[in-house]
Amino acid sequence: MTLSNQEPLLEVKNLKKYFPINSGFLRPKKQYLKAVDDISFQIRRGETFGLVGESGCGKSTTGRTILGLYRATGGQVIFDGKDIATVAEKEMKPYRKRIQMIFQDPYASLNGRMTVTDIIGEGILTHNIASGVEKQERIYNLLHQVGLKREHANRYPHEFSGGQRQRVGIARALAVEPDLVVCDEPISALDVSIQAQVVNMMQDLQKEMGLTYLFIAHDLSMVKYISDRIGVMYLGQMMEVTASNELYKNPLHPYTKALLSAIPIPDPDITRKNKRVILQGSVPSPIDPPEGCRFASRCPECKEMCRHKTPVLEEVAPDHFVACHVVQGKA
Amino acid sequence: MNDDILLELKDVRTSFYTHHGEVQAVRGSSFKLKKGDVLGIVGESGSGKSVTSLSIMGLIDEPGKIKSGEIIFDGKNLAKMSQRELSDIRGNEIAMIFQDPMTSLNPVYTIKNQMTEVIRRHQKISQKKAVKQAVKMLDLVGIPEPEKRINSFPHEFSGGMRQRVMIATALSCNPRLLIADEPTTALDVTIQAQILELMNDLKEKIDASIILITHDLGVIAEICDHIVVMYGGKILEQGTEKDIFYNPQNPYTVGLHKSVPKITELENEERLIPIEGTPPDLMNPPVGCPFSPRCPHAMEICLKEQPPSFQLSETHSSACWLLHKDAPQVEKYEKAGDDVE
Repeated sequence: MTLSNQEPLLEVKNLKKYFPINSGFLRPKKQYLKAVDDISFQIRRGETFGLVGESGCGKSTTGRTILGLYRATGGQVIFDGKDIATVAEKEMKPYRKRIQMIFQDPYASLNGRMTVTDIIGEGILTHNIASGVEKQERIYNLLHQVGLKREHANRYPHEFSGGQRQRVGIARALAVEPDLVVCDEPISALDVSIQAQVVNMMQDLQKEMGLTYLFIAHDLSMVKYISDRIGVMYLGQMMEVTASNELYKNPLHPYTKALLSAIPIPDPDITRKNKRVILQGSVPSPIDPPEGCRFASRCPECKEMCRHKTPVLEEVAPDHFVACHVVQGKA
Repeated sequence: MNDDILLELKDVRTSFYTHHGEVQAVRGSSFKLKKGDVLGIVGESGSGKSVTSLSIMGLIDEPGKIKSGEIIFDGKNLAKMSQRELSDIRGNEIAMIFQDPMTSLNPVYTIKNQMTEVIRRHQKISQKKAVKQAVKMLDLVGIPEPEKRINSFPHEFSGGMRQRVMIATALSCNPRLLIADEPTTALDVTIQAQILELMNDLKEKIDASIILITHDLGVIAEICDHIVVMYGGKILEQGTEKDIFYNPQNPYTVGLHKSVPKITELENEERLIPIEGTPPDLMNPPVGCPFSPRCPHAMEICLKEQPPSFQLSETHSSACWLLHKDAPQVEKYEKAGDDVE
């Protein structure tokens, strides 16, 4: 499924996003929350790239920075050959059409005072794609594509269930015919039986419309299922990037190993025999994190070197990138 | 009669009387919990799993009401008890852990304050002894330096640590039944693994039965001995973990198994099989089987009449008309069960 040697649609190079914490009486020095700290990866045309990690690891910030919802502190976001991280706000408009987003919470991301037609049609009007009857026809088509009916077009979000709202959110994102869709936890607010419906639909739409997905989630089983390649993030940095099957068959980074073994498998015979790598403690604060590997404080294989020097993401096997001194054989 | 049964629910029905009408959240729940067992209740939002547990705790508030049924705990019917009698049992003999550890701890009191309050409400001991008991519990749940940390406020703990404090508080009066309502849902996977390991560990150490409520089949697989599957306010299937995972006999349970991706399978070729449609509206639930509008095998009778619970073995029962002797044979289980060697 993975198409290697293909030109990337999106290339993220050394991306940084720091949030300043306002200095005050008790905080004489200005501090920064380093949400995303120097990460690089590529997304190939037509693939699904999964981004996983625990809460606070910077995966959502990465998605939002790619969209230009946050201004990058440093680094490049090269979309289709052009660096959009430094582009002026005025020139951003055509890219906003080409990169769209699906949000996590289908209750908060739809305006309760707009009808479904208004919600989906807004982007179509803004980008001058269609108007009048043609626009309405487009909206009906989109509704059909996401499994809703024509008569839903005049309803308000509160009249729908969670799964249906997420369908409206997807229709809105697809209305402007994007190339890349950033999906930020699109299914985690939905019930188990509804998740599979939405995931299947997203896969069908990808095939039909030739979409590229950046799929952000914390549910590793679902990410593995939907993604071609996966990046594992921890505390603002990328720990491991490789093809999804490779990641599960042959995880190299100690954090990936721990993360994978922490997943409860819905099969009592397997899960009860499973030897867990239980990580001690919890994720440290991303405010001015110390030098060295971000994972050092919880890593079962931590060496002296890991505490001083930050490891760099390197290709240790074909198409398998890891940032770990131990795996790279340096420690 | 049966000495090893700690809790028995007999046809419990709980409804909420709202402005729009009666919401029938639980419509006839019956199950038994043995001493020392871990019972898992699995279901989606609105399936009635939380309301079942709140009914046991006697925490159903206006406009809700336990309409009928019996909740027999240790020979006493909790459904008939006054709030006053219940408050001697709550926190003492039955304790509960909630989903969100931040909102269930009071932010303006220290952990010491909150833990000793529970202990001294139920046991006639001095503050000094109560603190000692609290420290012992914190140590049991793996909080480092409990003597020091007991003076902390909830915000000084991380999410996983807060949940440990909640568990310590719940266990501080040596309850005989511990109800955990989605105890790991708000936590990250690595923290969830820590808490699940703690619960597995405590299962051996403490002499209590546990009811674990969750929507995650993986969590259920981890520690439960007996599983109850709820949907639309009704129990559709119950059995041991072997029955439910390897021999499910209800189309809903089968559907649930099929709609989650299996991380153990290396290739992603197999498409997920979702359950079509949406869960029922409990304001006016389907006349027949609650799952019938979404069931791929629904027959005429399923839409008209609620199926009785068919006893399949001593431990396993399922409410589905397909199990009736006159029902047609359908191949409904071929996929879910084939993980067994």
